[in-house]
Amino acid sequence: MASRPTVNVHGASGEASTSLPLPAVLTAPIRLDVVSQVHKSIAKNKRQAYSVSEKAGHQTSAESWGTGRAVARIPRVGGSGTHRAGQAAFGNMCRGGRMFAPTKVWRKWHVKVNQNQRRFAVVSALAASALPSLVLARGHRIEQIEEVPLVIASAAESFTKTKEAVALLKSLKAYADVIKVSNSRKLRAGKGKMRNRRHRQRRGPLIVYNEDKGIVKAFRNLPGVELVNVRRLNLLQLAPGGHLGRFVIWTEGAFSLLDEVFGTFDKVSTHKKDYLLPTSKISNPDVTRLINSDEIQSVVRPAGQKVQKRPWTQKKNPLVNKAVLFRLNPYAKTIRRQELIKQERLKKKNAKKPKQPTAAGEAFTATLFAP
Amino acid sequence: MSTDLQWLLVRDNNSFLVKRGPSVGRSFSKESGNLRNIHSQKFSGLANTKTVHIADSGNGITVVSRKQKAGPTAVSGGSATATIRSRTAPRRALGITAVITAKKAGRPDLRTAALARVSALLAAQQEPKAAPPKKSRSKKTIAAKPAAARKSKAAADDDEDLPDLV
Repeated sequence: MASRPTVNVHGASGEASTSLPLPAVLTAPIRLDVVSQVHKSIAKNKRQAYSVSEKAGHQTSAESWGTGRAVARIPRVGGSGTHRAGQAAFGNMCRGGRMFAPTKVWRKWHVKVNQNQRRFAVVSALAASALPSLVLARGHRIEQIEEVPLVIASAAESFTKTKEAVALLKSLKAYADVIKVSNSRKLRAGKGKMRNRRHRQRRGPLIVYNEDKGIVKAFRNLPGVELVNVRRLNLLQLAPGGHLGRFVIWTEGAFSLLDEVFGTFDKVSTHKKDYLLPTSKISNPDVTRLINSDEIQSVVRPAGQKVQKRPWTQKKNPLVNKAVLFRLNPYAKTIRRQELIKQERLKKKNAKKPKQPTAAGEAFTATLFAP
Repeated sequence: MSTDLQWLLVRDNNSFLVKRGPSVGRSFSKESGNLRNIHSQKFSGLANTKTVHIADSGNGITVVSRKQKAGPTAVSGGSATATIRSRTAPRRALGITAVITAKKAGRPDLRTAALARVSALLAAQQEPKAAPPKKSRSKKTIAAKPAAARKSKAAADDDEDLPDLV
């Protein structure tokens, strides 16, 4: 890399003022498998315990009748005077029985994920959020914005009014993503409607700030917009659903702090103890560039003559096609010609001679009739 | 990030992908920059640094090509738009497209696809031909027609019988 790429900082009216070097974390390797696996586990850590009642299906004094009553030896409810008497109980196959393997509140609800894996996933998700094609592929409406990653001036951190926030997003041409969220709002299917999850909607931009001087209150009422401090970046927000490429808007302070929070490839992070960024297995994964590189081209054999598998357009049968036959066997032409001449001669020789008239001519007979 | 790796990331799942099961036989893709709307690395508008996007803009066809010198972070500023106005003749429109695709965008392998897309857009802009008048199968018209035909034929014959006046 000749020079470190830079990213423009956009002011309140959307214009680029200064520029910042690209933090190392945004060039980290992107491992979809790590992200999806870590996301799958982390997403489980917010679950609430549930189970069926401990007593369900066991609130009878049923006992087996034993053998000799010509019924199955399953526990049966005793007594008489009610329909329930004599019915089977307890078993998971019984009406009114308990379920098979009743669920317990002490199920393992949380999944531990190794810290380095969690960090790897966050770093991967951050790197993916810096590639326009991956952000587009996640479904964010970023066609009109200037560049990805999108960095705004730190003045936005002291916004306190949503009106200012909307004006800023509009000038950045990032408001289309908020509108997309607003249009996507639908009633949730199922019981979640009555459990404080009434609507479902897409995710909008994630705004990462360094210091909250009112920015959270300014932005939080916009549909789909989420805010997070740069020191507490979270995979569930960076890759919702395990899908890489969240549209992230950085404040200048947050963006310049990234190298400190995550460290670089050779400088440890100041916020995470002894943490170095993961490195790619190969430094240049561009296959075309590798093949065309001098190093490879200098050791491969030079390209030979182009071998064409079928130089002709279509194979012709010389027994049927005369032109091909004559090309293969020029004498065939002579044979054919001689044959034709011979036929012609025979035809002439065997031709029937015109019949000699035996009767009187027409003109003569006509003269015989009276006028 | 190389485009080969990006393709691996967007290949399995992305918001533009249209999968309609094995009965359709292939997956399609809706992103801009995909000239054939086929989900493949060659035609992908996401996993290529050089792309061409051709669409109808309402007043003519726009050919959007990615600038070859644009950085990987540029989004809207990284592409150049050319508009083929609706009164441009088809041959000229195709010529412009071929040059933009092969030279400006640097994708000669997409030339055929680009021309096919422009041709399709031009064909769609044509006024549809008026349908030919319907042939009636009613008995009345069938009965009336041969009689009229006979009459006219007879008139023509009469004309032939008449001596030339000149």
